[in-house]
Amino acid sequence: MEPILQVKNISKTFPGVKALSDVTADFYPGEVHTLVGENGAGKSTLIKIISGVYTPDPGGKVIFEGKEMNFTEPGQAIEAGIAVIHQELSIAKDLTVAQNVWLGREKKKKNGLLDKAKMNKDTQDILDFMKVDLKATTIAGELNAAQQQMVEIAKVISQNAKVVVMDEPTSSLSEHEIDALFEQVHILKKNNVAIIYITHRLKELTQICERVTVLRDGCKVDTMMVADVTEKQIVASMVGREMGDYYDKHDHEQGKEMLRVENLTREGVFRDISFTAYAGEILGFSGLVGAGRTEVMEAIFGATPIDSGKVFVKGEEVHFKNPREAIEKKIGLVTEDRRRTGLLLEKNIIENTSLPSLPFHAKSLGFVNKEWEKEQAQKYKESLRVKAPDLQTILRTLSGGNQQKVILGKWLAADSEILILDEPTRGIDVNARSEFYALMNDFVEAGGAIIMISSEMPEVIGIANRVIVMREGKISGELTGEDINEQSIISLASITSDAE
Amino acid sequence: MKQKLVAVMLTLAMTAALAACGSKAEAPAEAPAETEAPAEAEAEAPEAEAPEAEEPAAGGADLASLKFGFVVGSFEHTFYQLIGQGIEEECKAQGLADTQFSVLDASLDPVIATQKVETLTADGCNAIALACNDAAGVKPAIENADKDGVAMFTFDCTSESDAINCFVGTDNYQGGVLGGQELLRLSEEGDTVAIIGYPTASSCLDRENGAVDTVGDQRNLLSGYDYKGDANEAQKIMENILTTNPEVKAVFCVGDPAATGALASIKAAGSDCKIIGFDGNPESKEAILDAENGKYWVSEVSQNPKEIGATIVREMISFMTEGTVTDKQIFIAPYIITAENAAE
Amino acid sequence: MKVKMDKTRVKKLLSENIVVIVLILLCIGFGIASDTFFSVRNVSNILSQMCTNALLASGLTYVIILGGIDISVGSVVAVAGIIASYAGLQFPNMGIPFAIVLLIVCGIAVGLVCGFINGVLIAYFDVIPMICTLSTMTALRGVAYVITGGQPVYGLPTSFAFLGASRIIPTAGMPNGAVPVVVIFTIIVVAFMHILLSQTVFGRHVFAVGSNKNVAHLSGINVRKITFLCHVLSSVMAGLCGVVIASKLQNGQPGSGEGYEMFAIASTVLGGTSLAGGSGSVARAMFGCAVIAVIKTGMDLLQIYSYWQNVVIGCIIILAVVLDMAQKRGRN
Repeated sequence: MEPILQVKNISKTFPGVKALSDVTADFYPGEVHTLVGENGAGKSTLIKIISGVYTPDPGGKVIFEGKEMNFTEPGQAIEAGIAVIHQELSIAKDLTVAQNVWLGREKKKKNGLLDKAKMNKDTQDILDFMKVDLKATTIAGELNAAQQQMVEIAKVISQNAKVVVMDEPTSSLSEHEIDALFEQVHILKKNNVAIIYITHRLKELTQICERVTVLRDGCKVDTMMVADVTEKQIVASMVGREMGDYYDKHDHEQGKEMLRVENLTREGVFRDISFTAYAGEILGFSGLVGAGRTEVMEAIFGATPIDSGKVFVKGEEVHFKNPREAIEKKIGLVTEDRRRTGLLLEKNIIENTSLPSLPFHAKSLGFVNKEWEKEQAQKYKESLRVKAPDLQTILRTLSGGNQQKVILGKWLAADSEILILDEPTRGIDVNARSEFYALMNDFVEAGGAIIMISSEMPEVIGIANRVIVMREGKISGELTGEDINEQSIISLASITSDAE
Repeated sequence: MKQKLVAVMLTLAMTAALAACGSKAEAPAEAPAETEAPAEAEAEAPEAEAPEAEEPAAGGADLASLKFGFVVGSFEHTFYQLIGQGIEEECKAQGLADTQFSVLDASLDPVIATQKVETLTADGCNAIALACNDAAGVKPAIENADKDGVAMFTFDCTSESDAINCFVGTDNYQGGVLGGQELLRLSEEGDTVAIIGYPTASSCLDRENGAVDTVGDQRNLLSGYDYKGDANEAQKIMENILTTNPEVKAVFCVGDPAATGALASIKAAGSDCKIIGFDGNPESKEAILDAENGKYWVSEVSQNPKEIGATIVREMISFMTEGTVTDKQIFIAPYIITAENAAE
Repeated sequence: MKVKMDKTRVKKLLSENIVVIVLILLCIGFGIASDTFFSVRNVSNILSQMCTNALLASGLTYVIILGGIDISVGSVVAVAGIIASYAGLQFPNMGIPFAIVLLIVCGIAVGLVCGFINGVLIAYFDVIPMICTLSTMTALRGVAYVITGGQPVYGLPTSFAFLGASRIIPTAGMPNGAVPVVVIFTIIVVAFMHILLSQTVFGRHVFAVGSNKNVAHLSGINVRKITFLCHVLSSVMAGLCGVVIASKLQNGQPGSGEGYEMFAIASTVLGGTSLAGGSGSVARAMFGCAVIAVIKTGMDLLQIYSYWQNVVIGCIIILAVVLDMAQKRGRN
């Protein structure tokens, strides 16, 4: 059998990061080919190259139906017959099912007006072919997540796609809905469509999948036939990587209790979260993206509401209604997305450093204490070794690592004692990372507590003194000392058949 | 170096733009370029020649050393354009140089009218005449200019102030009486007739009152509408009148824009309601003479805007050079235009 | 390296102060074309004529920095003028100090009420500012006509006109005073607004919210409260502008202030306040006001047809916005 799609020697370099290196894989018609790997292993980058969102580094080739393709935008890939169903569905909620299916490729009558009747009929034909009980004229917003997924599949069928990429399609579906989805996958398979499937649920492999490719740190580890391997073997090939030498774990002495959380719950997001963070330690939070870690931290910080549960700061119960109250209790939150939620990009170092603490140091009548804020900015620029020409430098012009240091500086200026760091080294180059880890160690050695969310396994293992793993909104385990290793973290984080 | 270059280029561009605007803008005002050759009058700095007196210097001035300012309601209205023409023609006839008079536009806004009076005062005008479309709103401006030694005049509509030396306008109440008589002429006892008014403009309110007083109880009279000087509003008002009172026989519009709006509604509704306009603008004469529109727009209370403009110029010059005006209030009589005399 | 630095610095200086450069060039141009342009009288006129716009622009700067807009200011002007005029009618024998206090109190009170409505809707009910203020603009204009029955409120004592129409400090050329009272009043108010924005924690928070609401929220700033207060400030400035106009005309006009929002927004944008939010300055907005006032007065002096004034003002605003955009693009 000839592969319909081949990727050959694909590499992709982003500034400071090599996301993919020399990946080669074949995809066959009528087969489900699953890509597995940790967050950041390169799965998303690979499908973005296949679907024309990114172009590979020179030397890499995408060969479709025997011809080399040079997609520069997604439209060309769709045109050729490669369709993608994204994890976050791209359904226009105010349009009908038929309008969604033909979005951007509307059928027209000879006079240039929309041919609604034909679009409705064709859509209905596809839906009937799929054997799903949906009407072409229903408004998409009224459908549930599973039904919307069916609309996406109908769209893919209408495009006559020969290759369909499905990015974690089951992540938001219930057990029953997953069965319905798999039925569609089987229909697609029968129609000789090649399916590229991404999932974290390893048990799905045996249900629908023929071939599996394991990616790790941007490299292909192996491609295997599912029938020949066990789930354990797949997990084993996902881990087992060299530790970087830039991690420097200090054995801190666990100090007094700083933050205690009991049975924190927000319906549908996280449930029964209980843990304690102590002075002098870095507490790691591991798990898959979407496990609810960020949401838990935002809730503790008062940025989003909780349904039930208790939060104690240094033994005293608190009820933060907004971040300001959390800041007053000396908690700081370094968010995951610096540019969107961490920094005022168009403002300078002084304004960013003093932002949370400004009201506490204001002069009479609410005037800004400009000497104080300048002093603080200077102090942390020096002690955190922020590389910038002067304090007036606009944050946008700094590198990711220096931006992150300014954010850290802003919480230090606010006298934070508990720091919550959400993916603190994302997009930061190797040197800046080790500097940042050193700063984190300094902070806890001075009596602070750090809670670090990280999806990067080596980082969690290399820096955290204790690790809590979350899975699907719940804490699935806690690891200390020698138990902190990839094997145990992955088995706690992944949705395997044993875990269910 | 580069900085200098940019500065020079910017200056050039800006000056060029201004020059271009200046030369083009003068065309509609029919005033030849005047910036290059300042007249003798302007050569004296306004600071130095500003009259010190509390009272405006009446009489005895040399005409060639005087400067006159005019503020009309809005150049968007033909009526004011005609007054402006009358002013310009008379100024030239009296031998004034182009630099000795300016005509500005107040956009029918009392705040803008006030600003224009201030600007003209600053420009060294010895006498200013303005149309007080909002009598109360411009009163402080008139009195302040008067205090600064400018002789103040009004035309078209006036304001109650001792500072005003002379007012030239249409006898609006009398015009309203003429309009009322036309309403009576075009209808019979028991018929319904209407008036489309503009009560916030005092001149239009006078017209409406003149017509209401004339018609009295002799007809079923619909009034109390406000078309806000906007033909589009008048069109809507007429539409409403025709919906509720399809039998309406004649409508008196206190301004030509109202008549234009009403005409559109009446034609659309297929009514045979007759229109009496007010102002005497060219479009009204054209409509009355038109085979189709003349069936509806049959009569017009005509003002004489050019004569108003010319008269105010004569009175201002007389006041400044001889110290007298013909009368404190001069009314230019309105007259009726119908198909018979419209061609003249 | 050094040359390059200088170049960028000059470029930055030029683009940041483009409004000042435009103003200077305009003044030079009009100064050459008209003898009267630089007379004390005319300068004092230009200053007094930009006051209403300056008051509006100083308040609008706050909401525009937030990334919002307030187009209801023109209608707030009318309501405030009317309320102040009715209040003035109750005290036919009032003295000048009382009249000033009455006007200011009325302006602030009406501004607070209107600002409260806008602020609550926008900050706490998340109504889009454009839609919200469009509605309040229409509704408040209606209120102005309902209260007055469409007629101006007149018959006010002379003391009422002191704030808006009087001049003090006589000079030889101007025996009735060279300095308009309204200019002094406006300078005080605008200075307050400038300091509030540039020197206080509140002002800093306005910039933070305008730059990035998420960051501001997570840095402990009450985003809703800041949004609310900015809209209150904008309306209070409109209220003060309204009473100044009422005082200037010595009566209350239901139609007053119509279309003023556009000139005020234009001045603010000319002054370099970005419509995308996050940056701006009250002081610079004043230069924007000055540019517009200079164009209007200067073209009147040159007897340039009034239609052309709008064409020129429109073109200058486009120029300002294009430069702003070009600057942003240059950065990215």
